[in-house]
Amino acid sequence: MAACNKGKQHFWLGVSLLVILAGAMASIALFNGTSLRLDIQQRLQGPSPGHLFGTDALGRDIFSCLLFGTLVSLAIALLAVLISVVSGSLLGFAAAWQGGLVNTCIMRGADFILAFPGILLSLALMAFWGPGISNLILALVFSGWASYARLVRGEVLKIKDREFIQAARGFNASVRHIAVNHIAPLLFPLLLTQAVMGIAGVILLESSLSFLGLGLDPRLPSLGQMIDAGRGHIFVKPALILLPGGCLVILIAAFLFLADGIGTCAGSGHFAKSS
Amino acid sequence: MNFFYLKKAVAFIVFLWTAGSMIFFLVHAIPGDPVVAMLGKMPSAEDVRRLTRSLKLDRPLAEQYAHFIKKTITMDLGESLVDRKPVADAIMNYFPNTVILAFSAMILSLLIAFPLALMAAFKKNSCWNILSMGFSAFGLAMPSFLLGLLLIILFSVQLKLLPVSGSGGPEFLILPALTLAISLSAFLTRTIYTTVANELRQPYVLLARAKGLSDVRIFFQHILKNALIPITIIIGLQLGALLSGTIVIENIFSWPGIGTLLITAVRQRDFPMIQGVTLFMAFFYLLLNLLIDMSYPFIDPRIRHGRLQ
Repeated sequence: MAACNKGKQHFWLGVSLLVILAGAMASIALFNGTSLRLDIQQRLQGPSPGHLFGTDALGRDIFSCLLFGTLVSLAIALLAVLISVVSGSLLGFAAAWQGGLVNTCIMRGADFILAFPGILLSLALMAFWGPGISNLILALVFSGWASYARLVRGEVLKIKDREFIQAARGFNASVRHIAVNHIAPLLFPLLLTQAVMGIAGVILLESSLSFLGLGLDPRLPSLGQMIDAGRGHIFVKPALILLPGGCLVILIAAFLFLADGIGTCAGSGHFAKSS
Repeated sequence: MNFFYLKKAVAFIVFLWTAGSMIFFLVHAIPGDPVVAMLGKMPSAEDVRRLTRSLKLDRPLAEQYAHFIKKTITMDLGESLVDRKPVADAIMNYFPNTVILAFSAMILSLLIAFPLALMAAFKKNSCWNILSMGFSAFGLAMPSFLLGLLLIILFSVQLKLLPVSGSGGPEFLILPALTLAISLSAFLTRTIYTTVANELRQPYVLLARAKGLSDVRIFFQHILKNALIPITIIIGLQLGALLSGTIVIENIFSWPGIGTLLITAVRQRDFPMIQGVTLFMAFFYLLLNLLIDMSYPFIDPRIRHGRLQ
């Protein structure tokens, strides 16, 4: 239980980081308004009442870019992880349940993906496909599904011959019923931990790709793109790097803490006791 | 035992072949005409026809694929579209720099991670523990490209001690190697700590303590041998982070390695170069992993005698 207390601390630390970030952004947005308008005459201005953090090299309000970039990073990470978890779980379940050729095909595919670092795969895909939001999500899912598939397959193999599953089969329950009502609740804590950790990883991956110009459309402000654009003005205005960098670190740290908290407590919760 | 090597070698070849095929089909999956995509905006019909012929894109897909495999096996990766020089030559020119950077970063990260992790494991509930766990949490949450830029702001812009970017003397190597080393050692510290802390709970350590051995001797004579396998596995896994890290870090510091080569090729839409560099990276990464897998029996006699898998 002591481990869980520490986990709880980490969980609430993660939550409060996210709440503080969201609260700060929402309050500034409420009082100052946001606009992504280009105003080239106002480029690289210092902080002023109109632009709380000043303006970037294209004369855009830095705070508005930060807000937009953070939301975009978050949305892409959530979407990519959601698709990865769903497709990875289904494939992993199919591999464990069916066995045989299905298992071989799916798991060798996963082995292949996991044999390479995620960024290399996504980078190669984006290099051929070119930047863009749907390409980016596809590339992230392509490198992301395999770890969930492996996790789900391993767990399903462990429980598929247990008595309660055999009982359900004895009652002629459908595969879908067993998967949804008997297996999914047991896997949920593990998958949740892995997925929250995955969000941190995907935010990192997405920002690295955007930083290299291979993520979103380079004209849209995203955190990685802002840091990349700030490199040209590193001597004049380091804030162009420090502000989006700070947002990025807070986001990633928040999700890592959340995952740590959920993981520690899920291991000592009532799920573990029942098994 | 021989079966172990055989399995690893077969997996290596199959993965490499899959990676090659994937890269081949990716070029063909470029939306629209790949040649038009390569030539950029408004190419002339003559240019399109010439490039199509020279890349053999007017041939049937199966023939192109066979040609691609044959050429790749003979280490012929085609010519760059930008300067018409062989891709393999460019890779060989740039690759040594990547090796220098990656190698110095690896050494540096071991030098950072081992002392931190060992102090934390041996002196539990001390400030070392907090320091090393704080360091590794910091490193895990900090993207390497951001860390690189922060180090530039600190050492080059504020203190004016080191050059911002480029290559030349050893002073150009310090910042990129340090950046990579810090992001690597974050994970390494945590893993070495967990492994060593786990070994410290084993009965043989209790016995060694009872014999009156010092912590230093316990570590070098007893723990290190047992902890080496998990640590080697992690270092092997870290090679992936190292390789992908170099892509980003080289780009920040304009270090002339294959990461810079790849990103430049992407910006110039130089597809033969992208194809060649990604294939080479995949090859090199798989090769390193194969070597690491094959080294386990040498490191741990229990695996050598088939008692532990």
